[in-house]
Amino acid sequence: MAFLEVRDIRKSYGEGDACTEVLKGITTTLDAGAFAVLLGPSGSGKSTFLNLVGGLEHADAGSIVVDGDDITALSPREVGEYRRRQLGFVFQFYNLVPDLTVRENIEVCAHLSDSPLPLEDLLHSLGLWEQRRKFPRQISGGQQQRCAIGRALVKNPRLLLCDEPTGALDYQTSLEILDLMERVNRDFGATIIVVTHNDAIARMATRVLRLHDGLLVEDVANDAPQAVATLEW
Amino acid sequence: MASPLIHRLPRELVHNLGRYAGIFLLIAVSIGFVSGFLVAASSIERMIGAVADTYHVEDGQFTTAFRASDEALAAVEDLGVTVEENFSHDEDLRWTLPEGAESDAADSGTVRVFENRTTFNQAAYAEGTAPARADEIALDRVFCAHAGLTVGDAVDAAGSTFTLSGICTLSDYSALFEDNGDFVFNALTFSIAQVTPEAFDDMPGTPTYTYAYFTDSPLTDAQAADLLEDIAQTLADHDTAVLSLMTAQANNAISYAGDDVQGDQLMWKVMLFLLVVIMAFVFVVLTGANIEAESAIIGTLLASGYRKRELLCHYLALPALVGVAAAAVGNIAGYGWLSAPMRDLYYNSYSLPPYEAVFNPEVFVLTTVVPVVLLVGITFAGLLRKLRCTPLEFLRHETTRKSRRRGVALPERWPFAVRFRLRVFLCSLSNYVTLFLGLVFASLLLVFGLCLMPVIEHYAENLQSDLVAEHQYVLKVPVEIEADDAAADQAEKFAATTLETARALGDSSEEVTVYGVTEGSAYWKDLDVSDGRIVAGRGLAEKCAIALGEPVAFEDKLDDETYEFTVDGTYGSASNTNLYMSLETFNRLFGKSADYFNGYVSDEALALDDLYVVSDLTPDSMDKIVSQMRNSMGSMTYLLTTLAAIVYVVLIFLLTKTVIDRNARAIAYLKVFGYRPAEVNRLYLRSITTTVIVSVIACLPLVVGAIALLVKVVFMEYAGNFEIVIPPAQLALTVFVGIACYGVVAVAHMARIKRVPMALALKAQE
Repeated sequence: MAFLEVRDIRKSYGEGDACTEVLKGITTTLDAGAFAVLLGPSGSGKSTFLNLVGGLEHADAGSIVVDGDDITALSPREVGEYRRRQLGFVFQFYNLVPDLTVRENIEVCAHLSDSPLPLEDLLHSLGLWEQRRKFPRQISGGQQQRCAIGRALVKNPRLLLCDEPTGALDYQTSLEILDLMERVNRDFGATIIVVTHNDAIARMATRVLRLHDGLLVEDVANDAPQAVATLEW
Repeated sequence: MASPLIHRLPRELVHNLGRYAGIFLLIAVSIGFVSGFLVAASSIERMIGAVADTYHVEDGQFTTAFRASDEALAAVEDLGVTVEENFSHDEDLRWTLPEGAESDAADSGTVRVFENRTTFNQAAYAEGTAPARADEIALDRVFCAHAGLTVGDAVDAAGSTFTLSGICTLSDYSALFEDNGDFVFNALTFSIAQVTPEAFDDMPGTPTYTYAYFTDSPLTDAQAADLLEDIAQTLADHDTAVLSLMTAQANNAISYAGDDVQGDQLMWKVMLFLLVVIMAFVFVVLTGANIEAESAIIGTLLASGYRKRELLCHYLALPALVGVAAAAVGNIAGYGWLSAPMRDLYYNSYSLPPYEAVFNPEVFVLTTVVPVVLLVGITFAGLLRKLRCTPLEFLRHETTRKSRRRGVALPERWPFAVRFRLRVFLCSLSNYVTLFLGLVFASLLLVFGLCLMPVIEHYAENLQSDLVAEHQYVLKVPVEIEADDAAADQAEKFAATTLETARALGDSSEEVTVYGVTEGSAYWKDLDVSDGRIVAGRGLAEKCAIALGEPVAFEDKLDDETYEFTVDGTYGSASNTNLYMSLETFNRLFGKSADYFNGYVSDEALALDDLYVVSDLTPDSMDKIVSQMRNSMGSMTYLLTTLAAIVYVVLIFLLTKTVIDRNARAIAYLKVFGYRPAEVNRLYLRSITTTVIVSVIACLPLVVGAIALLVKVVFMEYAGNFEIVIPPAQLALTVFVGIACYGVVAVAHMARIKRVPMALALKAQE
């Protein structure tokens, strides 16, 4: 059984003449441990798809089953608990708490889990051990994004949702982040969905989904994912 | 396990020290002032309550025109009371002013001399001892403080020189009312005194024959009134002319201080709750601004699985901690330091036994528990409202309705600077609304403080204008003027009695002097009391909401009679609380003989035997009343003005700072674009300045309306009718103080704008 099953989900915004259908019936599945990249131009519905899977928005129609639970049938409180137990989020802008140190920012989410990952190991593997006592304003953008990934990872989520995680970073830093995500996928077994408009990133994924105008126009498995270090754009 | 977010709290506190220090100051100062006052007031109230037992204070008194016979007194005692002679002499008193005294300070007055009391209405000595020799005298503590007298000083009374052996308070004179019908007590030129029995016997003239009575057990008000009636009847049955008769509760010298302390507490409690509500709104605005600023972080935390309850607790923690700490510090300051100046507000006016601050659980609950619960409750509700948004709305910074809708279109023909400032204004509208409300309250405090004296001055002017003659004699019995008295021709007879009628607010009643005057009087000019017309003083009509043509009940507490009069017109100033009718109507209505009278009005002094004169009201005696009122209210004015100025500065600072913090990034952009600091100041500070000035001015009508209501409520329990007077100069002063306070804040803001780093503009913004 697939870890994630999305069945004919639809989502519109606005009413009447102003109504825009952003997702027009998307159906797909992902196995546990998949590294999926969701591609598409601006306005194609990538972020909306991610928000629906993350329970941040409610689908107008269709179902989203994560590890056996249909999250479209859950109450808002239950959706909250689902996010608490299962999900990690990484955003384009890191949204770190400015007056908490790197370590404390990660602890913020460790607090939510009964079995968080060992913090010190995580800081080492994120390459943030030296920066652990620094505040976000004292570290680089790449380090801030690593910290944000650490925050998402520390509670050992089954599903990691990343919305343009390298969108605000330069090439070299982006590679470092992608490398980190690959290791997370490999070492922690988390299922990862990365939303990006950068086609090059798709080459490292085990699964590539492409949206266009609210429709899933490509859904292919990548049997030979490329090493991150070889990615170029 | 505690949330790691807890680490933020001390850093947030340090990072926003100005904001939290401001809130802390506002709460601590407000609670400090109010708790200081309430602690002092409740301690005094408790003490006044204990005075009756501790010092064996009378349950009532009656004064007879002449010494009552033993039979009459025995008959009164048969009613179940004990009667004690409490005779006194009212004598002229002269004293020497200390060096450095103000040039207009009084150096003469009246002293009411009693024999040393040992068994009832006892004295408490603040300094010195009771007189032991015939040339020694003890005077009232408050009077001595005003007159600058100390133990060992010499004073002249009744033609003799006495040495001040002690400074005391008499338990039946906590407020120095020379006459129970006086508008206000007089501690400036009136004192009580104790002397030895020998010195008392040597006093010239006849004493005032006052008798104190004591009941075996406490009586209810109704029982006390019945007893009073029985005493009056018994004395009448024994042909004893009674000049006055009253229970201790009706005796202002005994009960006024307690009533005043009680009445003032309500005002301070109302003030505290208004302050707390304003502070809570400030909390809501500030935490709201904080949530808006941290919108993306909150969205991320919610998306990561944080529950709203957890975030609610987190954002509530610091305001609650600051509130609790400020309330605690305010209370400590209130008990420790501020209760002393508050105590002095009363101790400068009332003669009370030595003060002892007593912990009062009710005051603690009112000044600590209730404000904290209110603060936390209102902040909680505000946060709950803010946190209703979805995680996605937080992530998209769509937490306010304003941010979810498009901006207001402004005409492009308007200059850029105008549109820019307008945008700054619209962007921070909620802050400005709260600022306006805060300024309304701060102005209310300020105007109230500033208008207290003008209200009293105006009241005094009215009293002066209502005084129809240079002398208004009230007599014990009708006494004709000697035919050869040159002044007899211009004097006019009148009759007067005292009744009570219900006040418009509350369940208390106003004491009304009813005058029967000569029709077409040369003194009460333009007063038409012909054809049985009854006319109310304008102040009485206002205060007791008397409608012309409608029957109004007036009660005679002494005779237990109720009269129903229909008032046909009003007369005099807004402070005039008398009732007028013709002398003929007076005598008919009150069952007097056709030629009855008990007073004279005269522009010249009349040669009347002091034996028959109860009082002689002159412009000079009115001045004393005014001086006392000014003296009593002066400190209150100072306190209110200080509190208002603090509230002004802190509120303006907190709320305008939020505007600047919210626009910090935009300010950084302007700097990067090349705007000079002065130009940035003009763009941001000018909209704030305009708002503050407009708010300070625009809130005045609201403030004036509220003050009118406040003055009416506050002064309702006082005898007389106080008309609200707010001179334009005081309003201008309020505006000036408001703008001056803002000036201080604006300087701080200029420095703040200067400190906004340009690097802020370069940082990533989601």
